[in-house]
Amino acid sequence: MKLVKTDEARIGQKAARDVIDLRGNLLFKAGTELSAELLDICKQRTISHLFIEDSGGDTPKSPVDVQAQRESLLKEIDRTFAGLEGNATMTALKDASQRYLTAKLIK
Amino acid sequence: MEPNPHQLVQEKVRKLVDRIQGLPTLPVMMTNINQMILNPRTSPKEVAHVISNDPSLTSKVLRVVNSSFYGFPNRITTITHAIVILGFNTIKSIVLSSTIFDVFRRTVKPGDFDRTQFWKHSIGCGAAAKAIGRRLNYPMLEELFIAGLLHDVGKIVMDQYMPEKFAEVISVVHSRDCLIAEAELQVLGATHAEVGAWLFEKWNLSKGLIETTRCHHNPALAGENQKLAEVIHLADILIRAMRFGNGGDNKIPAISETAWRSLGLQHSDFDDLFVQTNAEIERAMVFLDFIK
Repeated sequence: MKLVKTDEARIGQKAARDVIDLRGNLLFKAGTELSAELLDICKQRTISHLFIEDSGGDTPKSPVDVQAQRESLLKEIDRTFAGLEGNATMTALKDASQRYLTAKLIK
Repeated sequence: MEPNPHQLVQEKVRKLVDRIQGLPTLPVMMTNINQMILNPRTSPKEVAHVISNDPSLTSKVLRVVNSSFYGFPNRITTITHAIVILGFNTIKSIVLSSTIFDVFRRTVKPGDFDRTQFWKHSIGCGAAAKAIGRRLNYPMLEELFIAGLLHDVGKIVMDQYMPEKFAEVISVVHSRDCLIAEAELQVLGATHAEVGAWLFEKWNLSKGLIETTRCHHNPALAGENQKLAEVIHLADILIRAMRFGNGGDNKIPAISETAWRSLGLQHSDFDDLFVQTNAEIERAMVFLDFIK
């Protein structure tokens, strides 16, 4: 996934994340292929940047790759939160972080 | 009489910043705008005239006010129009952010402190602060964003004006796998929070910004700005948990129990705060243009 200026996004690229305007309206979902019309809508809504799937993003990730990335990510999260195991608020934050980041990985 | 702990820290910060040579003053234009805004007779046109003397700044301000960060349906084409719509304080905040990005601009080499990741962390913190502020019905979301955006500026001061010492700090972070503030205390005797606050005091910026910067790791010390500091404290931790950008370490400090109770949030709020912060980040990415 990469972040590009809306002006530099190309027709045919795929949005890597849901695109939401200032008022919280969903304009289109992650995975949607960008069309000239969608890019115009983004510009009208003054969305300056879009998260775009990398060139390899067109190919679905294999389950083995996703699993390996997930394990690596969970280890990183464990390392980041090390030493805070007895803190209930930080444990809840860590759990939420795991849910959020692993969901992003699958997208 | 023995000096109190606050005086000891101040003395350490003074010794630290005494080593900094040639720290820039706040640009005259920013000082002028600050003074003009204090005068109730100042008109939007007068402030716009000062900003418009700098074409690069004018273009940056217009880019931000026309971005999805503000989301106005119609294009704003002049600074006067932007001030009328957004108000003096909002425009001042945008100008201040742009000025700070410019003042602390420098060419980086491979292996240097990663400024892009640093500013992403800072923008993310501002975005998280806005998301928290919305949840709490905080009245001044703009203030939260700017306080989040600038909370770690002391790191950039140290990276730019004492690069060898700051490289030592980063080296300690890597070897001990600790928080950057812990490494700063070990190497320098003071942290980026105190250095950033000292800079903002020198620049005569608002008390809220000074105290939030100083106390974002310990918001209970922020006095009348405690609520603002609590939001930035939590925002800094949330954005670390989202792994967006990097402020120089890979650890996460514990949320202050006092701050958590004071904010009145629940553990079940974290998931939604992540989603809302993510939406705010996408709108705020226009600020990354400032470093280009």
